[in-house]
Amino acid sequence: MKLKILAALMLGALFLLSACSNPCEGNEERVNGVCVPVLNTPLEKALFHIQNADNYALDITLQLDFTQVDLSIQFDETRIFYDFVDEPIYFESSAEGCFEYTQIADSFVKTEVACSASTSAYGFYLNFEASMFESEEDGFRMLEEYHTIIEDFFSQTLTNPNVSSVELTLMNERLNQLKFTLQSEQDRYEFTLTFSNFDSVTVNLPQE
Amino acid sequence: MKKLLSFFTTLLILSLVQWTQLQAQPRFTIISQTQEVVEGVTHREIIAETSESGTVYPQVIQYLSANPLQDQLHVITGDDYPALSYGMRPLHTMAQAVDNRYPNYRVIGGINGDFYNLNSGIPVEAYVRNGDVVSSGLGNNRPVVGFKDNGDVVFGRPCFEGFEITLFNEQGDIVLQLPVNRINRLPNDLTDVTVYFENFTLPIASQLHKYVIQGLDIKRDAFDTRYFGRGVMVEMTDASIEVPQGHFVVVSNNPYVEGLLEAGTTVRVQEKLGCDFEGVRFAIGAYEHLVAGGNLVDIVFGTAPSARVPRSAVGQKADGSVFFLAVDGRQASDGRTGVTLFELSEIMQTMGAVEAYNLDGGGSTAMVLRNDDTFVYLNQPSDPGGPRSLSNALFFVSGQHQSLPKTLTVPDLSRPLDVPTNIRVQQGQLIWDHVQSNAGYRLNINTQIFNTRSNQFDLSNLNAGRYLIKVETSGEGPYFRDSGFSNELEYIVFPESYKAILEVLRGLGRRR
Repeated sequence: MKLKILAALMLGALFLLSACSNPCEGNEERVNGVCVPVLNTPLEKALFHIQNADNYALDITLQLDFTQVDLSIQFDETRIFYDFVDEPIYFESSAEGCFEYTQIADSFVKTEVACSASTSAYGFYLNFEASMFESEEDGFRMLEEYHTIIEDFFSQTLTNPNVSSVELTLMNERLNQLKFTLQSEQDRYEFTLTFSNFDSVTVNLPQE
Repeated sequence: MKKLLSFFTTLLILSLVQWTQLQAQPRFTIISQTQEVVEGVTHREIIAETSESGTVYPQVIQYLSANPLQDQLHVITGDDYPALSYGMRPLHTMAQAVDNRYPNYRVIGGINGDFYNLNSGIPVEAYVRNGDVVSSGLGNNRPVVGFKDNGDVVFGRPCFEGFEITLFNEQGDIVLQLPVNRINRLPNDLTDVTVYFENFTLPIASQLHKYVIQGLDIKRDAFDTRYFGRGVMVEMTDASIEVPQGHFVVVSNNPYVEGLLEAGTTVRVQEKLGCDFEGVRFAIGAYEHLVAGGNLVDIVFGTAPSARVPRSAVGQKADGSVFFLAVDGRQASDGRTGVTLFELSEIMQTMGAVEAYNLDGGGSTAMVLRNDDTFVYLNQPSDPGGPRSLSNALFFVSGQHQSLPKTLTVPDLSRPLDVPTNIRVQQGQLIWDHVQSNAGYRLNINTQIFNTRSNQFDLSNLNAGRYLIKVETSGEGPYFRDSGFSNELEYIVFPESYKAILEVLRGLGRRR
C-alpha cells in the first residue's frame, strides 16, 4: 500500500514538473530540452545551418557587362576578413569593443569602430525561409514576392535596386551558391555568392 | 600788293637756286672709245670728261661686259687665299690662281671686288665661292651681289640662317646636311651638332663623339664669330682632345652623324644663305647702291663721298648682261682724274645699268683681261708701288658650271625612343616615366588614339568600362622615331553603384 502511495506521489510530481516547462510550437520539437524547428527538408536544414554558422567563407563574384570582380569574406566567429580588391579590411569584435584594420601602404592601421555596421547589413540571406523558395531541377528559385529581402539590403546604399532571378543551390544540406541579378538604374550586376569552408576558416588579424 | 611782290621774289629765288644746282651738277661726256671682244667678253676703253661747276675732268674708263643669259659666259668670284686663312693678291695673280683652281672655267677678265681689311685680307661683306660661304661678312649690313647658275643676278642683303654642316661623298654628292647648333660649345642634347675651331684652346670634354676634320680650307674672321671650314674626316674619338692645328672638330652623338661621317668623308661647315640668295653659287660684297631700276638712288649729289678718286662698279643692264667698270684716278697728269661717287652713278646709268653697286676703289681699282696665258691690266692702278693686293674679285669666265651637288636620300638612321615604363594609374591620372628626347606620347585606349605632350593623361572622365591602354613615345624629326607601344594596361572604371555595393557588402557579418 505504501508503495502504491509513493508511486502515485511521484507520478503526480512528474505531472506537476511537466506542467511547469513551456511546450514547443507546432513546427518545433524539443531536442535536449530546447525547442528547435522541425527540419524536414535539406533546404530547411541548410537555412537553419547558415543562420547559426559563424565560421565559413563567402566568395562573391560580381559580373558586370565589361568585367568581373571577385571578392571574398572570411568569417571566423568574432573576426571577419573582407578581402576586397585593393581594399582589404579586417574586423574584430571583442569585449573591448569593435575594431577595423585598414591597409595603408604596406601596413595595417587599427581603428575602433561602431560594433554594428553603418548599414543594417548583417546577412540578408539569414532571413531566408524555405517557404520563400520553390524547388527547381538543380536547386531552388526564390519567389518574386520575397525579392524585397535582398532589395532592402542593397537599398541601404543603392537607389531603387531591383533583384531578379534568385537561385539557390545546396551541397550536403549546406548552402552552396546563391545567384541573383541586381539592377540599379543603368548598372546590372550578376551576383554569385558561394559558401564554403564551414568550420575551417581561420582569420589572423594583421600586425599593426 | 606787297604780298604779290613777296610771292614773285620767292619764285625768283627758288628758280635761281635750281639753276645754280643744275649748273653745279656733273656732266658725263664720252669723247671717244675703242672696243675689242676677247673670247666673248666686250672690252671698251672710254675717253671721257666729267664736269662739275664748270670744271672739266678728263677720265679714262675701262668697261668689260658679257651676257651670262646669252653667251657661254659666267660671272664668278675669286680669290687666292691660303688654305687656312684669308690673304691678298694682286688682281692679275688672283686671276691666274682662279684660272688654275677651276678646270671647268677659263678666266677672261676681271675687276677688283669687295672692300677688305688691308692687314688680314678679310672681306667686309659676305663672300661665296662656288657654293662655299667662305665669309658671311663682318656685320656691316652692306649689300651683296650674287650670281646664280642660270645667269640670274641677285642684288641685296642676304640673311644668314645659322651654321650648317654638310657631308659629301667621294662623288661630291651631299649625303647629309644638318644645322650646326653651336660653335666652340658642347652640345645641349643628343641630337645637337657642334663644331670646334682652332681658336678654342681648351680640351673638349670626353664621352662625346668627336670627329677630327683635317682642314682643306678654314676661315675665321678677326672677331672669331664667323667661320667656314671644309676638310676631310681623319679620326673619330670619344677621348678628351684639343683641336689640332689646321683642323676643326665636329662633336655630336647625332645618329645621322654617327652613321654617315666616316673617315675620308668631306665635311663643310658654313653659314646658310637665305633671303633670295639660296642657290647662289658666287657672291661678293659691294657697297653703295648706285642705280636701281635705272634710276640713281642712294647717291645724292652733294651728300655722297665727293673725293675724286679711282672707282669701280658692277652693274647689270636690262638685257641681263653684266658689266664691270673701272675709272682711273689720282693720275691727273695722265688724263685720269677720278670721279666722285655721284659721277660714278651717273656713268653707270649712262652705260645702261638698271642695277649697279659700288665696289672697292681707290688704289684697289683694277681690271685685267686675258692675253694668251697671262692677264694684263686694262687700267692703271693708282698705288705708286703697282697693283695693290686685293682680297677678292669678280671675273668673267667661259666654260660650264660644275653640276650642283646632288642631295642623296638620307637613310633612316633614326633611333627608336624608349618604350614608356612604369605605367600606372594614380587618382584618375595615367602616369608613366618620362622618356628622354620625346616629342610627346601617343596613347591607345581601346584602339582610340590620343596624343599628349606630358607623361600623364587624365582618365577621370572615362565612362564606366574596361579599358586596355598602351602608351608609346613619339619621335619627331629625323633623329628619333616612335618607340612602339608598351604592353597593355587593363584599367577598369567602375560605375558609382559599384562603390555602393562594396560598402554594403563590407557590413556583412557585423551584428547589429
